[in-house]
Amino acid sequence: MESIAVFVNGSEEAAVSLEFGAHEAAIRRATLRLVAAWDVPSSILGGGVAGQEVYDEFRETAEKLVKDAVARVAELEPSVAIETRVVKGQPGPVFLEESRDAALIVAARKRHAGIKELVLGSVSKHILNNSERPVVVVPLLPRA
Amino acid sequence: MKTIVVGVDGSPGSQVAVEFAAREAAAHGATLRIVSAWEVPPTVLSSGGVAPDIYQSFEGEARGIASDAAAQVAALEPTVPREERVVEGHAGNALVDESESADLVVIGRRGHGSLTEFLLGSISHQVADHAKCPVVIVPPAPAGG
Repeated sequence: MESIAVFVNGSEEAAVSLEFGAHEAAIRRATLRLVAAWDVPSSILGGGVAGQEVYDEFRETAEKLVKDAVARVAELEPSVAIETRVVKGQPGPVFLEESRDAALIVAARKRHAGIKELVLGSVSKHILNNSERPVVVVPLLPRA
Repeated sequence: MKTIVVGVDGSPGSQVAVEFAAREAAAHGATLRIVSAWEVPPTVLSSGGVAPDIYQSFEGEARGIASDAAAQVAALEPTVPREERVVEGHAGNALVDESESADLVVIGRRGHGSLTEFLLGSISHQVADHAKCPVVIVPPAPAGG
């Protein structure tokens, strides 16, 4: 079955992607693949290594976001099959790798402080510049 | 979804976009609006001594591109209602305008330009940045057999 890939990171634009992806997966009878990336920021590692519990904390935060996203999809489109991937690494490269075989990748434009127009975030840009799969860019606001 | 717009320019990339758009329209039960934009390049106009039928020539080419795309849709998804729109103007501006009355816009990653494989064309960049509805950017078909 084909997959539609959506990135989960707790942001407003990820919520928009999720909604679009869920409806699209329902219409196309595709699997919705939820992808999240996590890592320990270098500011915390401070040039050393962190204890296992630090890694666990960051990983669990990502897993919680994905769990919330799964619940949201179940509300929107209960018939959609979901698969989840929570991967250690940088968001752009992780999402690119995990969506390599997707039939469609969902990205959203986001608000950026001080700019009136919606912009593409770094994950969306990374996908648009590197992916070989179709990408749908969803604007944040509904048309007035 | 009621209306899906696909931007066409006759390039192999836009044929891949048409296929995607046709399948999407079929899945959503939407009408497919094929949009072919044309303009006389400024370099041609400024070269002087331009024949009066130059506009008809460019417009005619755009109409041919639209009707080729319509034939492609008819072959792929004969039950999808389709319309052709030939618009004078910059393709990026035309597609952003179309996005006001569409539920989805589909375009190829890049048109006739000879940019490197992964570079997002300027038209698709503009439309992805400014469209009022979701925009699908479809990569070219993989090279080789």
